Amino acid sequence: MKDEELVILLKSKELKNKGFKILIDLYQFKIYWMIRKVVLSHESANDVLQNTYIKIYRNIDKFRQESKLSTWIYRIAYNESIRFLSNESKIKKISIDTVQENYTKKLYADNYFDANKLSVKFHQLLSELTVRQRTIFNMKYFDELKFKEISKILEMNENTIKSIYYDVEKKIKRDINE
Amino acid sequence: MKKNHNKELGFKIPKNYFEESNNLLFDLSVNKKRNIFNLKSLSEFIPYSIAAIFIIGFFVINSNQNIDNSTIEDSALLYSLISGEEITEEYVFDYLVTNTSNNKINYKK
Repeated sequence: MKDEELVILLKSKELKNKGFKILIDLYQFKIYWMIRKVVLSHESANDVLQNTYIKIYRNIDKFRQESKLSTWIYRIAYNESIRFLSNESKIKKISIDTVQENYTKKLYADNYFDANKLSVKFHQLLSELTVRQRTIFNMKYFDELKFKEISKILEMNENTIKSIYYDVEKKIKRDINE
Repeated sequence: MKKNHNKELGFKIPKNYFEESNNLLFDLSVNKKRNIFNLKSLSEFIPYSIAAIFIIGFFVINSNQNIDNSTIEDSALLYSLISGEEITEEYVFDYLVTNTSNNKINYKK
């Protein structure tokens, strides 16, 4: 189903719920993995995913189709993830980027983390990045989003995003096999 | 999504997670919306509730108020406020007669 058709369903009073079911099927997997890479643990990702869908359902009437539906959805998911991290850092009284130790703790506390040699090394490198650098890298490398779409989601200049991504990619490729 | 979240990042998920969370996400989103709607409807009644509390409180306080320290005129004024009657000489005279007979009036020293 095309985005435009889905939006028509979502904005119709009678067919909104039907459209919303289709939207869950289409985006649940992608959004979950995007959130999981930001918040790290499965339980947290599950909570943020639920909040994201609640926000989408509540605000779909405000979607003005100035961007792709997927961009709008990813943006909500990203904002919800950052809000979650922000609340978490307020509770623990640490900066959102002071997370290297916290990052590892969260990973190992999660029952759904498989600590193999490659994953541990990958996370060690990712934990040395700021949240923004990590998000850009994850969105491009794992979620395979286009730079243009990432720039719209993060509201950042496309060239800045490219520059950050290539720097991080170079570092990770260099260090991953050390 | 070509990259493997399990191989490279070691992320696992519970068995059948996506299948099971599908309906849950739908129910949560739709019901949460309803709850918010109900809460909004309730919030419309809050100003009326507060006004009602003040009005009832005013009557309760006045009905229990000890008028020992009031002058005749003050008491008549309060009574007229509650009863809605206009204060005239005739009204004050009637008020005095009624309340004097009930021994409720204390004169200012």
